[in-house]
Amino acid sequence: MDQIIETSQPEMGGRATPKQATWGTFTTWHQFVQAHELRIIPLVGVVTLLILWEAAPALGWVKPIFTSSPSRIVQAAIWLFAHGLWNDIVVSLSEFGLGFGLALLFAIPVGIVLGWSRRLHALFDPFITALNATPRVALLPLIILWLGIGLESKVAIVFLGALFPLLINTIVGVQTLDTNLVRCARAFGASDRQILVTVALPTSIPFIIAGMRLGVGRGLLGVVVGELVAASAGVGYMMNRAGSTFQTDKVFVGVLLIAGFGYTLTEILKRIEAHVSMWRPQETE
Amino acid sequence: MASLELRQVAVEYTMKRTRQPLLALRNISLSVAHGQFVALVGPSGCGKSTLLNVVAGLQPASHGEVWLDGTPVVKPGRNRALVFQSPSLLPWRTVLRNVTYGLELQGAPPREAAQRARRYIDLVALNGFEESYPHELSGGMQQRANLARALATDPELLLLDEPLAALDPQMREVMQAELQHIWLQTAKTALFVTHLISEAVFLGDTVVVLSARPGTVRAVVPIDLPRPRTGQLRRSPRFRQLEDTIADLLQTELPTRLSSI
Repeated sequence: MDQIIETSQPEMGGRATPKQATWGTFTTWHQFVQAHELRIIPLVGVVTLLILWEAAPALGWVKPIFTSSPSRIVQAAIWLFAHGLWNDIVVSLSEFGLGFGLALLFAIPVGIVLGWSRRLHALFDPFITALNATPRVALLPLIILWLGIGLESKVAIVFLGALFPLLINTIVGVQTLDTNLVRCARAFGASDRQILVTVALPTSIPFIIAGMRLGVGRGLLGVVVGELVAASAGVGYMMNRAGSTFQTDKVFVGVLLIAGFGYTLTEILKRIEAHVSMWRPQETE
Repeated sequence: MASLELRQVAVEYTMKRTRQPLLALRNISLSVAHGQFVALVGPSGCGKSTLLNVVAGLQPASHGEVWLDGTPVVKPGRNRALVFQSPSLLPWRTVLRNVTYGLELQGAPPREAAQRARRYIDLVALNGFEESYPHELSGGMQQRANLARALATDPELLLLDEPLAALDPQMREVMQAELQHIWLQTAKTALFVTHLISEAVFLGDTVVVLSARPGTVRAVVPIDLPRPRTGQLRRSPRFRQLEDTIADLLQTELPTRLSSI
């Protein structure tokens, strides 16, 4: 029990350090807590979860082989990092990065064209709708058949996963035209191209970023499922091997890596979103 | 020489749902001299905005012709600028970049556009707000920015489609005076659509009264009040008399509408 508190305590202390700079301006704990309430509440939630997670197997409520525990996961992580986990991470990151990058490069220009041209949109819409409705995982056997079990098949599945939310959001973004702004631009004699550049594209940026956020989730799904099904390296591959030999701790290391990566990327995109929509009224989301 | 001339203009729509033709405007003939401020009043749905769209060149006339300084109007042009009821500022651009927007679309060099924009931002008294975003401005300020954007393109004809309708009554009177002040300084020909009789009388050199749909010119009332017109003038007997005249003209349009409800 004593150990438990020790393992969770340093983390809280570590996170709290930057705030200590402002500590001097608060006269009491109470004021400090009030001022940082919305940061403290999530921290309390996370720490409580960690404590319960550590305590449950230690008190014999659950079997550690199923739930593992934070301390076991840390130990497993240390061991894994010393035994080639970096390589798995690099493989998974490359798969994700290449697939997601290609999806961006493809979906944004194509989405702009399809959003702008009603005829082209009418031509391609059935394919987009059908493919978007098909779980990409269903295409995995085909993709593996075509591209093998190496990097390429995973890049392809990430690409296909991230492509549709990006493409559909870009199309909708370009199509969402404020009729007043268009009428105004037309009254100044604007050409179609000028309306695209000055009205449609700025309108579509928040949509594209929302599409990226969705795409991150779909892309990560692609990496993990792809690696679980057929791979020779990668975080998903490591998890699959560990899982089939009942090494729960290592599986959890993989889960946390993926969750952490997805969370970080989503947060970065939120920041970008906030930055590019400075012109918006303060939202109370 | 008349600056703007409408000759028997008619506009017919095909209604989307019923596919029935709808005559919005019929037989509109109107002459507006250079530098004149003409206010258009009429019952709701009489086609006032349609008429402005036609003059702007955004919408073709089904019959008749629109001439501006000896040239027929067929599409939007630099010699006209349209100001809408909703300020329709680009929300992601600052005031300055909104005011340069019209100039930018017309291919003006950026530096010159910025210079001209600053001049008109001064004119509409928005200096100090060049770097503000539209959502940071009040409704009246947004509408002034909108006006500056239209004026910055230096049009010969200013088309104003109920530009003050979204403002509260006090602000609206302030902006009417402001608009008169700006117009007196720029000496543009102006076509101003409004619902408010008092606004039409306060601003117009002439008030054109349109009939209910299909809209046609019911009367042209010259407003012989001295400029610059002030708030006190609104309470003068002559002002009230003109208001009553126009109200009476509009009244005759109402019974048919009421009985049809």
